Amino acid sequence: MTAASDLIKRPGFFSIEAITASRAFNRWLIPPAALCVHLCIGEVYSFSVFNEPLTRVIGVTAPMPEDWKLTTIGWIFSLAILFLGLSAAFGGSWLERVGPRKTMFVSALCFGGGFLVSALGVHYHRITLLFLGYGVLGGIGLGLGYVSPVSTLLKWFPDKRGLAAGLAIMGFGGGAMIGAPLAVNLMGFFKTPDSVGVAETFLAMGLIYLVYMMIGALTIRVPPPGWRPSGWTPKPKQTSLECKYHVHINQSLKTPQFYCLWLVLCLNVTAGIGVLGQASLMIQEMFRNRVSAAAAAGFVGLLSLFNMGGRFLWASASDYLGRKSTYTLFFLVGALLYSAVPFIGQSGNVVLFVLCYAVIMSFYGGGFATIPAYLADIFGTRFVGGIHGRLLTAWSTAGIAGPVLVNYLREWQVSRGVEKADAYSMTMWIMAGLLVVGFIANLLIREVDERHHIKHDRVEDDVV
Amino acid sequence: MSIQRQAADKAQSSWANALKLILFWSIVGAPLTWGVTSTLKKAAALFQ
Repeated sequence: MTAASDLIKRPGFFSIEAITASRAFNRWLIPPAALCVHLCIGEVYSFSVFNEPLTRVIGVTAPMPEDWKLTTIGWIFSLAILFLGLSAAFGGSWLERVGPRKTMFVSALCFGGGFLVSALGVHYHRITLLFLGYGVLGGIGLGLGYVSPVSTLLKWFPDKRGLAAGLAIMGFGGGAMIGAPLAVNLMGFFKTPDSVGVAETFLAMGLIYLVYMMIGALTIRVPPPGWRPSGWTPKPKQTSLECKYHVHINQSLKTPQFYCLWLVLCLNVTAGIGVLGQASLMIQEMFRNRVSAAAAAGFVGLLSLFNMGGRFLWASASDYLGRKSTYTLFFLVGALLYSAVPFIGQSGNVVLFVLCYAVIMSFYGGGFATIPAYLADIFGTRFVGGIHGRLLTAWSTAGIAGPVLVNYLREWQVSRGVEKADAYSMTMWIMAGLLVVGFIANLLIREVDERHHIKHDRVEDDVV
Repeated sequence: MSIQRQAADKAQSSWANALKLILFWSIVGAPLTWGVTSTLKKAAALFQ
């Protein structure tokens, strides 16, 4: 009877109770769990390594008329980014309700499963299976996987919110660095005279990522109620914005702070993402006959390193500088650097050009990694996962706006007879202008009005 | 429970914790180091 009642009382495997840690639990075990997920889903930024092989799945050595066009293949990545934004926005409130283990588990199934469905798509040469697999399923896995560990980390590290979020989101930057060489090596391994090896690579990567993400889902823990790091007591007012209240997900949408932060993220990402996609071409056109294609690829690699490093460095620094000051730095110094790029290009100083872009990319990464801690400061940690998810629609918007803006402006200038090397000047000044708008939006952020705060007695039962 | 037994349990638990930390961080650190090294090799082409 006792055993039976114990069994009934035992919390479900995925429940929040089952993953609530003891007070003696070492919180430094949580960042690896978060990294297990982010290192996998960060692979999305290296998806372009599959583009060329996917255009010759039938022809193998060269594309055949029946093979997929590059423009068709491009939709796979776009769909994944679209579904990332949608699932983060809608899955965020689900995450708050069911806890991080279930969300990370579903994320692993979707992301790993997306690869497996895509492998079938390549095998049977059905592009719809790739759209559905990597695009839709993979995108859902991306969105859920991106937000779930971040809010948990913020709860474990109230004294180091920036560092904690920076660690996880740095993993997303690092994921591309692992995904690209892994995919290239696997395709080389599975390649035969009759196959480009993409289907087998998708299958292998799907299984590897599934296992890895499951490790994260199984080892994630949430802190017990009222837990605080030993020896740490919250200061009465650590920064001018850090809050002691919580704002509900739906209520956050009624505050001007949410939209200011949305703009801050969107503009910071638009400026960075547009340039990142053009980096290789830009350095070759600005320094004609001086920078080879191989060196330009090295430049892109270097930017990825600074993008990843910036995520950790700037998010950690924001714990000391304050979030608002950190974004002020991104926007002001970023605008100055973007404005300086055309002059540096004309001066022919490659080293200064590379250095300038390295700093810009570190700001781009830093912008991603500092936003969760900024949200926690403004809206509290209770619903930060859900609010973060909704804010990530800014990323999806910027993911479309940034490259379109840069490509369109460049084409427009070239069509008007502007030299290719000079065609980037106007783009850079527009990017600098966007950062100035971001600076103003950041400046407008104030403490959330008391009428939006959750009353303490309603916190537990007021989840969406 | 004797004081010696409690001290031994505590030491064992801290060892287990340290091992867990090393294992967990290695699981994520190893592929990340590999990825960063591969990217650094690629980036080196810029300076050649």
